[in-house]
Amino acid sequence: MATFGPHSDDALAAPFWNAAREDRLVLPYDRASGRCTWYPHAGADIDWREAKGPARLVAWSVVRAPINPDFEPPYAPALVVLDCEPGVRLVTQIVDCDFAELRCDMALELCFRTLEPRTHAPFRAPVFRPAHAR
Amino acid sequence: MGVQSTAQLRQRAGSFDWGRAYEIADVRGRVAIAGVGESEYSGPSGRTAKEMALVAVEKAIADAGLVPADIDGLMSTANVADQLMPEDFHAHFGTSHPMWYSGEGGGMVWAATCPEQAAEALHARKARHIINVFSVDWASRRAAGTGTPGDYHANEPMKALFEVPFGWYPQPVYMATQACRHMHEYGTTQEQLGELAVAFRRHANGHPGAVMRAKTLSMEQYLAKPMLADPLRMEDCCLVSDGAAAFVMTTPERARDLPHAPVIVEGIGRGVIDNAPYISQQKLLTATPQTFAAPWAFAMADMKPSDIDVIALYDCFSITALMMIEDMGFCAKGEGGAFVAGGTLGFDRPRSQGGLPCNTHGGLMSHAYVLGIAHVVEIVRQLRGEAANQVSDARVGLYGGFTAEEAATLIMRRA
Repeated sequence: MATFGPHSDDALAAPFWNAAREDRLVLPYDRASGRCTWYPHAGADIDWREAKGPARLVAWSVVRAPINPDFEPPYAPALVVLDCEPGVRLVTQIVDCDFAELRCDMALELCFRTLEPRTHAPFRAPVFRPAHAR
Repeated sequence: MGVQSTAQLRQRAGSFDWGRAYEIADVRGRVAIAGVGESEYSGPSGRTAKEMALVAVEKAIADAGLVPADIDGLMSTANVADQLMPEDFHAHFGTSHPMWYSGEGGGMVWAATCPEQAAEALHARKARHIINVFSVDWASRRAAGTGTPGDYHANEPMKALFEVPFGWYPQPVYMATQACRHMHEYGTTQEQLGELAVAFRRHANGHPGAVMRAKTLSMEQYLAKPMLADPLRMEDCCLVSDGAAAFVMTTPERARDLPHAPVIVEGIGRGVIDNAPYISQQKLLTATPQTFAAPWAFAMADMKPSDIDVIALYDCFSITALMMIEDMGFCAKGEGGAFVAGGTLGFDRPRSQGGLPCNTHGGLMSHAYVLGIAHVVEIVRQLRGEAANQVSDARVGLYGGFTAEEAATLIMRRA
């Protein structure tokens, strides 16, 4: 069984999840080309740099049935694109909202939460919530 | 028309900016399906994959008017557990003759592409009769807690590192997010997804081998069912089944001497997204790799979507089949919802009446989840005129296979 990301010491993932523990989102930049490569490539010379919101919601699903032993419904796994890095599509969750208010392409802001899957230890994760006008 | 080079096929099929077609050699008219066989399909049954495969193989050999000693070629999906191998064939039938083997057969995209390798082996005289078989014991495994259809994805390293932790897993979530985007961009509705579920269930109700043959599903019932992962209901998802199917391939010349009218392979295509296997990253969430596969198959066959009388599409989810209908060119991108509305996919709505008979056995959603091998068998039966839900005057059929980041198209015609 492949290793669950937050508990992996895989060099391709450890910087991402270590940063998440400090409430930072980092993305992998290939030092040669300067471009962000997602997912990170083994053997590449990677510079992990901090990224921040805002972001846009590409698509999501509110899971309502117990199809995944780790999470209790309802929860909203989603695909999100950061404004600062439009070529990268992040898999994440949408939190802190009435799921009925979600819309494709809505503005989101980055935040961090401790996720508590049932079959793994809790872990800090970069997630997103609807951005609200200030 | 002479044999087309891969350069000619690529020229006709075109190029794409988010995926590519595999180079499939022109095997038009070079290989035929001469026999088909199926095991019983069910929920958890305690049968092993190999024993079900052998049942299907026995039936396919008999259907082809052959005996086990005639089968000197075998194809199965080597990277799926417990698939039939030559030693299993020999142990069961008491044979020992040389057996050509390819591990790039079986189900999913390979149920569509296996005739390419088979044609090469047949014409190089490596084999005379080649059997392709795929078997599934996931219903029994899931019941016993020893495996699920999601395992393939959970075991992929990048998915385990960056997707599974967020709950973007298993497959219903992947397709639910695609459906979300498709509804947003094109206005596709719940009822339109329901048209596929209801049409395929109706076909299963008329098919004696279908797992869901005794359970009806109306649109009203469908809409009243609870959501599984918005916007998909359980009724938008495929079954989890035990079962196996097989088909015998040989040259069209040899097939003419066998009991059934041969079904001739006319076109094959296979496509893959860029950044495979990460469907989370595919550039267009509202489409499938049929975008890259179908044009190659149509170019090889020198046909258009309007030439196709009956189709069987890999309906792991309703939205997948809907997007494939668009990607193959049966309607414009985004119009799949309107296209399937009003019973278009019914077996009794032939092309001459503006229909497109689809999954006339009930599909993965209502016949059995055997990953496409039974779809090919159903198309063969349709083209022979012996299907349970027979499409009138079906002469050309198409199978659309799928494996998340890849898809494949197989076009066949009755001889």
